[in-house]
Amino acid sequence: MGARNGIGSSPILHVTNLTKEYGVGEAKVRALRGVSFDVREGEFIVVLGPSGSGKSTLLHVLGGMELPTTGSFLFDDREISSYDAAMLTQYRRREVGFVFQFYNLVPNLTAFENVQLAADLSKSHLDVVELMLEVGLGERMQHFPAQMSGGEQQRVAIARALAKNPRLVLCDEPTGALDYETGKLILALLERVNGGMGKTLVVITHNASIGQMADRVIKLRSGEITELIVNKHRALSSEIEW
Amino acid sequence: MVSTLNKKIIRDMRDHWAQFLAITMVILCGVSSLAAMKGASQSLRGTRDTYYAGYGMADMWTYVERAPQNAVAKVRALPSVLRARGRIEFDVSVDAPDSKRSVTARIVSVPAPNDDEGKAPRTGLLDLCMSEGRYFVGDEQPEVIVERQFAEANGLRPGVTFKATLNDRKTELRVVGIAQSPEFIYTIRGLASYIPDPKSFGILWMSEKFAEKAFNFEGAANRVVLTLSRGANKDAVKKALEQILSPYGYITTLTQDEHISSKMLGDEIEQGAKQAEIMPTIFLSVAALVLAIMMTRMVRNQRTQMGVLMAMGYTKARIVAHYLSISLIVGISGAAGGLALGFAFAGEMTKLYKDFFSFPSLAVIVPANVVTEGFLIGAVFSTAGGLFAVSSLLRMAPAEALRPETPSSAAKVLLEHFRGFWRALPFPWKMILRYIGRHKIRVCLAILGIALATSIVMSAFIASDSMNYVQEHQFTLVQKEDIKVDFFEARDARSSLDLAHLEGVKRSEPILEVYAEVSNGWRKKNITITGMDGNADLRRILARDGKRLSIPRSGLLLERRAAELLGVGIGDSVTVKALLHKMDEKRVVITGLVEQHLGLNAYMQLDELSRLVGERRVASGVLLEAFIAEIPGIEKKLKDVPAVVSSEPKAVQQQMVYDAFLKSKNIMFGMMMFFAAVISFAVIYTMTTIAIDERSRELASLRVIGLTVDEVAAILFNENFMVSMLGIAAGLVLGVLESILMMAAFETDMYRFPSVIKPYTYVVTILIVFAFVMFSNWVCYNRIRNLSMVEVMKTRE
Repeated sequence: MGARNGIGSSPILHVTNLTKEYGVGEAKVRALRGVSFDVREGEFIVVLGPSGSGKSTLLHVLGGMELPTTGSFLFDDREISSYDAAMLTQYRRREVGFVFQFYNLVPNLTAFENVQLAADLSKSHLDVVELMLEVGLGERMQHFPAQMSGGEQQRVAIARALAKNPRLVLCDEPTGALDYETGKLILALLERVNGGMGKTLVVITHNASIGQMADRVIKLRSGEITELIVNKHRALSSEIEW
Repeated sequence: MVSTLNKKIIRDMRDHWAQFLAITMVILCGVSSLAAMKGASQSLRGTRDTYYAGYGMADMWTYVERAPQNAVAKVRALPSVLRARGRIEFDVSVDAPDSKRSVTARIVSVPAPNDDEGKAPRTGLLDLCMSEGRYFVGDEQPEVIVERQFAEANGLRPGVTFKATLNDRKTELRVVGIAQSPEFIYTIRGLASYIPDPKSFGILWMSEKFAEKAFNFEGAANRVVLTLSRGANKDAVKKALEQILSPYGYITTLTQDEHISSKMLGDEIEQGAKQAEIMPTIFLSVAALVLAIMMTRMVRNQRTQMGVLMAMGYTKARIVAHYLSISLIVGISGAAGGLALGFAFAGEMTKLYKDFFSFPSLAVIVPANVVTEGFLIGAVFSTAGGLFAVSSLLRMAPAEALRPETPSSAAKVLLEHFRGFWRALPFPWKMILRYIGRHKIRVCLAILGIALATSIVMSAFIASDSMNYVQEHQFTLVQKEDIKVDFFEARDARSSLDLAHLEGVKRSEPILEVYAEVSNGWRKKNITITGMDGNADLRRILARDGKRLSIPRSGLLLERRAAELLGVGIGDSVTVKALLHKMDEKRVVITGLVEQHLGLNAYMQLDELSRLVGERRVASGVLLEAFIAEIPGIEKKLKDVPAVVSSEPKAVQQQMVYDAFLKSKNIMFGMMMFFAAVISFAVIYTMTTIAIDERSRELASLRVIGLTVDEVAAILFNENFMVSMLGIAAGLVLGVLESILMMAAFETDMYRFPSVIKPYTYVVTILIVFAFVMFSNWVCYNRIRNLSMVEVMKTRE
């Protein structure tokens, strides 16, 4: 398979033998047990696995939200796994946008302000109003999260993740809390984030259908990669169903 | 432009206004107690210092029988003496136009005027502060200037004339002015009558020349007042004075520390300063702890939001600054409100001082250092509380903050090991006990919060009871007389029995009160020693256990605090020297310790004390037991007895003691009650409402399963109930300890408050705290009822 247009040949993420353990003694949980893979700039990766497979942990590590127990993880040839807390903050601030399953919007800020909150962090941030129009919330900018539907909240969350203009966007079950129709709208939006805006996109989900949209699918079970699928043909969000 | 994060601050505060208000109130109360007590005490000190400096407060008062002016000139020539003046001083009986009781005035001579304009001369030594009328113009008129409190109490306005007995001659005197002086701020005849009673005793100033004529004291004086240069050796000056004046009947010299007005005022200021250290410290410590507890729980609710901010790439410093700016706003506004309220309280307390301290003006000073301290405390406490609260969350990786809080342990709670018992428990109680067992720190903080709240409510009650107890003890158990009569000077004790024949008098007992210096080595204390006969019954002497002590044939019964201050006990000897008497010191053995709460007292046989002052058997006054209805009549008759200087019904005295010492304390305790209520309500309210926020998901799930609002509420209430009960129990113990500390802070030579704990105190404290708990529960009940199951379940934990 040849590289799709817009996908670079050099890896933006280079993950080698990543492990992550929580707790001690009997209560020890081994969430990741030696995971290795690469992600190239502009790629759309889906990490697929049942709950407890370690996919959330993987996302947290990739996003600089916590450090792996062992193993290495390079972003743009920088060894992120050796970063201290302050450097991790800078990494998150410059390079990473997060989208959570439950949106995690700040409840007492409006949609616009939630996005502005992220834009405040970066000099090269995107125009917040344009972003709001882009995610289709031009009319809802002054609404508070509690006044919006789940789909709308997730669109705000995506706009928030993009506001800093990061190179890497990480999504944790972005459609997990949404109904089918809304879920598909969100997927269409993510498609544009990856294709139109050229962001490297890593989505974790337990929904196998979403895998069809990706360039590659990493299957995870009990903290280990069980399968790596390369999609010869990427499905459009409108084509998939579950 | 307001940054987005700042918008969040503003809205956070708006959305949780009740919790923020509660925290602000806690700081407000703490700072307010500081401002009130320090404000009052420093205002009094500042006013006194300015007054003393501006009107030349004396450093020494020498008592002599009759010293010629050239002897006074010799005193003036002493190297460390800055200024000195001889003067004439006599206590005289006055026919005050308005009074039904005996009135005595102390005549004090003042220097001739500098001019004819009626202004008081400024000599730099005990100058008069004129408030009405004029100074003496000529020098030989029968004119007086009246001390303001005395003038007000007896209607002695400028222009009024009245008669006084000067040197056994009734003389008509005309009031020309009203004035005040730094040496008569707290005016009492002697320490035995420790409360100022301007109706029966006050000061009259008279021109020197007229006084010399009236008392046959031409070119002579019976007092020498002086100021000393800085750093003068007081003992050396005293010796020199004694040497110069001994040919003229030297009696004694009082320094500023021994001078009654100065000492009483000084004591009040010192005690005020001490109380201003201890009381606010107790309040502020409680407030600080409560604050840390409240903020910790509030911040826990922000866990996810902090995680999101971290995930976005906000630095920890930014996030800390964010939360600290919230606590700083709370701290600063609490401090501002506390200072305002505190100084208002200080104003009220200062007004009371005015009733018995005679100052030209006594306004509340708002000391800059207290304002600074208040704001600093507000800022530091809230910042420390905020830091304490966020520190644990900041140590987490962002991913951890985004995960729901893991229970501190999933182990079985202690009670689960008792299988039978555990199985028999209904499931809501299992939930409650597990929650408590698994969130030990959180539960302990809640218990501590309630304990602190309980303790201050309780100590406020104890303080107030203890004040009532002191009054009751003194005026019901110790003082059994109905009227106390004082003579001009000590006279043959037998003559006191004459008063027993007055109509309505049931019983009379002579007493001799002597103001004496009691010392043990270098430790000295000025004490009033009361001499009574062995069979005396109108003044009861009680030991600490409440048992009545009888006066020993020989030896001294000493007040417990005085004994402690002197470092002596039963069987030890002390040296007693009668001040104001020309007598040598004597050694006396202490035979018992007395428990009394007002004044520093000691008791001796009347005969033995008489010998101590060089007399055979004398009395300075009489205690009368009388038919209540006859008291006004008896007083009227006593007014015509020339030997009587004052008569004081016990009820009047009790009222005066209350006004002078206890009223201001009552305001303070009122303030404490208010603060205690606010603080305890704030802590309980915050704890309960936050508990709801923290567990809304859990509670909603129970509703989803099908539990009714009441059943869900019951789980939370029972949990609160257990926590409250434990907190209250701990608080009752804490309250007792706190009150002991507090009452010790109130102890002075004039009054001592034991920590009085009545059974009802426990009951009322429990009821009040419980009412707060119930109200908070009621607020929570409404929240549970309005809990939207769908909304809560939709959002992640």
